[in-house]
Amino acid sequence: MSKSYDIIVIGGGHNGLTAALTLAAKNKKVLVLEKRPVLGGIAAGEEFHPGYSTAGLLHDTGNFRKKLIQEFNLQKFGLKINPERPTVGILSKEGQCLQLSTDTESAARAISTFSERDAAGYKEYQAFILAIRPFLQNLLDELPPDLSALGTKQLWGLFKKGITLRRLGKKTMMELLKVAPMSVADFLNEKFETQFIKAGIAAPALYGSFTGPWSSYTTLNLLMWECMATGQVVGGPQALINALEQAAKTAGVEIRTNAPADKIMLDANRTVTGVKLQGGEVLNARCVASSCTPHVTFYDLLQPSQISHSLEHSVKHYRARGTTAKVNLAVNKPIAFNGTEDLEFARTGNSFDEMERAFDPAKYRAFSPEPVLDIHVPTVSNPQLAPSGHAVVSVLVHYAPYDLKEGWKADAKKKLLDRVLKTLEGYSPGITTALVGSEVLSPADLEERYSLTNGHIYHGEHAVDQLLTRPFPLCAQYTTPVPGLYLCGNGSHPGGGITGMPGYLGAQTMLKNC
Amino acid sequence: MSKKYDAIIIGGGHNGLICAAYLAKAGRKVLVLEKRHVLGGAAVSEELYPGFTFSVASYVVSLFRPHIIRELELAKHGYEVIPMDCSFLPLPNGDSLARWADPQRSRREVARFSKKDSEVYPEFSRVMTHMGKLAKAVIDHPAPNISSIHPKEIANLLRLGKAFKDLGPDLLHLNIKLVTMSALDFLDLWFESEVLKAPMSVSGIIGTFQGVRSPGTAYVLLHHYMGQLDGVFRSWGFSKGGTGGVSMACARSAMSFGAEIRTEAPVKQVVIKNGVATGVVLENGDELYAKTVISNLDPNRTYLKMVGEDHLEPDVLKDIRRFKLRGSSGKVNLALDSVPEFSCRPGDGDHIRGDIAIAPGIDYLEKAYDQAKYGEFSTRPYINAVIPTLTDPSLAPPGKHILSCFVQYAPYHIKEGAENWPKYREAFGDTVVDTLAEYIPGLKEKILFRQVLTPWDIEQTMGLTEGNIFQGELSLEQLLFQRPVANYSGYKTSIHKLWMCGSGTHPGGGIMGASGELCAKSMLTSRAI
Repeated sequence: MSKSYDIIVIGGGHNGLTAALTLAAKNKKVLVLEKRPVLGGIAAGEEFHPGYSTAGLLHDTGNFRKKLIQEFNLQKFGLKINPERPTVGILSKEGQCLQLSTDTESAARAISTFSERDAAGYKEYQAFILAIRPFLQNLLDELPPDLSALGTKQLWGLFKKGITLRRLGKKTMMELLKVAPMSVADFLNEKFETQFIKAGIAAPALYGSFTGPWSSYTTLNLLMWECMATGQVVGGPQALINALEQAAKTAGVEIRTNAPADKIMLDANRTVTGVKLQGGEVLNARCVASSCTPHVTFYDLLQPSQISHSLEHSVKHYRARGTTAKVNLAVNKPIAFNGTEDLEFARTGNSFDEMERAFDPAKYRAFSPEPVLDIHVPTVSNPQLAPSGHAVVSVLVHYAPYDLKEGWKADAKKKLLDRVLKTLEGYSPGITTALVGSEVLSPADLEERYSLTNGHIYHGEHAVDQLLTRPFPLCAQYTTPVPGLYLCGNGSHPGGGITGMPGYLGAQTMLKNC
Repeated sequence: MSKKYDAIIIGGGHNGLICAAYLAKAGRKVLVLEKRHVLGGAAVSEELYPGFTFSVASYVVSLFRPHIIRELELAKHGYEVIPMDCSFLPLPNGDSLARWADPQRSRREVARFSKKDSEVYPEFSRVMTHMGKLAKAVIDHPAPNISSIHPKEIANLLRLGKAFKDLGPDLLHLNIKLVTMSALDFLDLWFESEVLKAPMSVSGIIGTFQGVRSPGTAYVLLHHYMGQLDGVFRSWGFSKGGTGGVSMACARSAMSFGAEIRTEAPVKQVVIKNGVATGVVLENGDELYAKTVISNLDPNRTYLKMVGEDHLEPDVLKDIRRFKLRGSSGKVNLALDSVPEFSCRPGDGDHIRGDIAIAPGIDYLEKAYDQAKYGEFSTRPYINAVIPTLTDPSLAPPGKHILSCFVQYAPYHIKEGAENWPKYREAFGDTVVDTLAEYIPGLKEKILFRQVLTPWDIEQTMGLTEGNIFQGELSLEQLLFQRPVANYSGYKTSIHKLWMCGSGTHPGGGIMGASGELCAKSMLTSRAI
């Protein structure tokens, strides 16, 4: 008889580790299974060319919730936070670079060199973010309201959320209700006039959704992102994973890498009994927590006969159309963008029309001729990721659809690389000749490597109907119709990015039941 | 000082006339002022070519509230709507799909394209009809004011809350999807065949500046299932004598109750004294006074032209300026020498007696939208056409026909600037005729007369700002307590004794009549008049 656990967590990404840590801190016996040789999932730094590494597939750690750092004393395990939001360079094709720093006053000063009106607009914008933050953070940092039934308890929960909203004051509340359903283009057009600045501010609203800037409800995505954003983890996602791993081990979590789960085991009553590994080994547990995507959890880790028709319907219609590719570049010199050196983060967009034109081809299963780039140069703060004097440029590329018409074969990837380099050449002339090595990860590659269904970096689109009741009403409270099976990945509330919250909140639910 | 009225209504569209009728019925002295020589606004019939009566703009009736017909005795005054039996989709490959009022007949047609879809089709109708009932609870009452704690408002909220609760959790979530998803994603939940999804999805985009893949468009699908003729859910119909017939019935009803109606009486401005509306000035300089003024014009025109910026507080001005109109459609009206026949299904049978959709695929529709986003009209647009003369031969000389085409996308803001639309008017008309001719051989030879209405023309003739047929986009942030603007959504405006009764107020566009009715009833119950 093999060992038995209270809970087995499938997937050793930031959410799997956070869930395990939360459970072990309450004296649960926990095992984490990771299919890859390394922990971290999309937060793991990767060597993509000999001597050159990225800081992680996603590079933004500004959304990792600070309350988790305090609760688990992650600083003790080497975690360092740069309390300020990093300066982001917003680039224009005309060679301009706006350095948007964390401090509103200095950011507004930087903007005023382009437009006084935009500087005033930015202050207004930040004041609004500050005003709505209590409500949105409350929404994102707590268990989602239960909408599975409409009994007294659920209505009370909704009522409490309503009170938090009302507390913003009538004016702010009405403004939030007005702008949240708007397109991000309409929203920002009211406040700004300079095209590339608007586009750069809007960009995060489009990550992980199947929309362009003219689509309704994109403002909501932007507001959520802004309300979550805080200081970055020093050393990037990999440093966060290291701290989580140490903390989890110290709390007694057992971690196995190279241990791909094959199936979740159920007994005759369809209750979870454990996990079978791909090698055939069976591990017993009272509960299983999956940090995988909903598709992987229900389609791959369970047998078709084990899920009900309504669950099958929900999974099938959970939308996760991946539109992001990753291009990693190894270059033999420090890189400047539009003449600005030592820029760790940079974004392009140029104008709403250009961003919309970048999105259009995705609808017809082609990638953007001029993609929107979300650039990270990890070597600026972490020079040891490349040989001395060299740099790593790691780019999230929008839009590159998973279901590309011609398929993601080598020549399609080559074409994408060429387009990214051509676009980058406009901001950083000579980058192509400085190229030492490169890696293109298409959405298909992301699916293969990280088990991201359709290569969707957020485990499913951020669309209104897939937010609070994420992934779908049947499983919106981290529970599933399968007794003993729980969800704790980015496919659950509050959604994608590196926040740790799906893992933490999922574990809270398990603590009540396991 | 001239004659004193209880209310002067600016604009003789169907909502203005309905509002007038309700107020007159309650014994108030009412005057309606219409700038054109005909009544009806966008619901108007005109003889544009000898012997041919066109429904110039709005061309079908569906959402008209049945209790208004009863309460205003409209049937007695000539209101007659003939139900439409079919939605026809010709396809470029020679095939076609006809969806009929008779569900069995539709199922057989759909089954040719997908067996599975034909099985789901009745279930879809059932669920949508069910949700349509919730929507009815919304459109038949003034919008709740969520920021008020007045007992009446709380009762209104609770009534809505109960309607939601009665839906049950599954339908509640479906309702969230309906409000936020794209029409296409929503239909994907049910259907697999594009031949079915494409013509169904377009009901989500009519009159909006959005594509079938744009989030938030699923909601308008519901309108199709709320159409309610004589208590029968989801039927659409033709008004006898053209759409103007509805307006004329409303006008006759209003007059029978004692309302006074003047045409060719364009209003220049609302007279405001010490922040209170006291009357109107006509273009000819005449001043007319009344205890209240009611505007049937869109919010932009009401606040910015009739009232004027000087009378508006900064917050109200800001909200009015951000109110989105952005017309996206045009209209092409054709007088034909003989019946237009479709090569894929020839003859003048029942299949072309309803509405005909040129919507041969999802990508076709989306590409039409893509062009519009960057300020061009679609070179291959979505067209919704009807041949009303097959149902109501009185509209044209014997054997002759009318082909009335709603066309999308024709964005008001073209790259060259809206004022340059007249230069592109005929090119736009040609595009529409060329598109139709691909399905109707010999169409061009049949044309006796053609009228092309661009969004610019709709603005110039009907006074709809930016040519928006709904007096403002039907997007979530412009509905309910935010239509037209927060704080002034209950038909009141920021000017004391000035009210609004057009489609720019809750519940919004279409020939529904609800805005006019609810405005009148709100005024009467609050003793504002």
